[in-house]
Amino acid sequence: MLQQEKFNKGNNIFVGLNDKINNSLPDEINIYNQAFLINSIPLTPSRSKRIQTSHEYPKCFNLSGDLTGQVICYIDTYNKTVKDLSELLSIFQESFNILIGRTLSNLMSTYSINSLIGAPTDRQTLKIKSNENLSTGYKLIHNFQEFNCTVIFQIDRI
Amino acid sequence: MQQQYRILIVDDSDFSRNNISKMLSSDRYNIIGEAANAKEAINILKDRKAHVAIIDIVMPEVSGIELTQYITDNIDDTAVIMISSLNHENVVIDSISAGANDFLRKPFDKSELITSIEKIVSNLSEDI
Repeated sequence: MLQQEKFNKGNNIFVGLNDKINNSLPDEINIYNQAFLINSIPLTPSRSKRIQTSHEYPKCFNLSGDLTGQVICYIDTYNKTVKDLSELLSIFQESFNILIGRTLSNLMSTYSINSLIGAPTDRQTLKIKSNENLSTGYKLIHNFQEFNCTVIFQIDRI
Repeated sequence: MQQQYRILIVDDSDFSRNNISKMLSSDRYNIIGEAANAKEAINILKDRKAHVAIIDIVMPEVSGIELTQYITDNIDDTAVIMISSLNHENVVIDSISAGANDFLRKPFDKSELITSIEKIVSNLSEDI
């Protein structure tokens, strides 16, 4: 792609990007009948620094392609009975891998925004850049318990 | 006696590997190994032949597409089913170009997975 075309496409991508991502987020996903993700909080711009509590566990997915940056997901285990934390975190990781993948596929099919997700990593602190973050919430339902999960899109805006 | 098919599962997610393994728990399928990355998968395939490798695209270091290309170039008679949470057209095309026989979008159900495997093994030679 010529540099000018890439520049023009880049400009178009960021027009109404918040709405495009919001429209691409799934309302709910059945994760192999073993967990369910249900959207609980609409996508909201946020510039404030988010503090991770001691009951939260993060997973970070890098974005590449038309959108670069990262998506950071947290699961909150406060006041929950978790018998097997590694099993819960494994389901949490796969659930949000599927959620982000589906969101990116929707962005591609509806808005021709072509981005890919990277392998997840554990990330202890959220690095705040000078850009605007987008935050949404999902409930992860597993083993008759509901876990509040936060998803933060930290998109690099050129 | 019904032929048993050897399956390799490659995914960096423990949950996904366990889930696929449960879906295929029958006498018809023999899970010869589970690998969390491409290196582990290649080591398993050096020792044991698989009729079908089920490979996730997004993995650390070496992607599922690169692993599929390696299998296509270096390992005979192992078919690949690519799995991913992404289903962009270009991702599917890259998978097929690398040599994948089929592509399943996560989350898939047991019947989709078995249909995909059976479609592939019905075309395999019987002597591997």
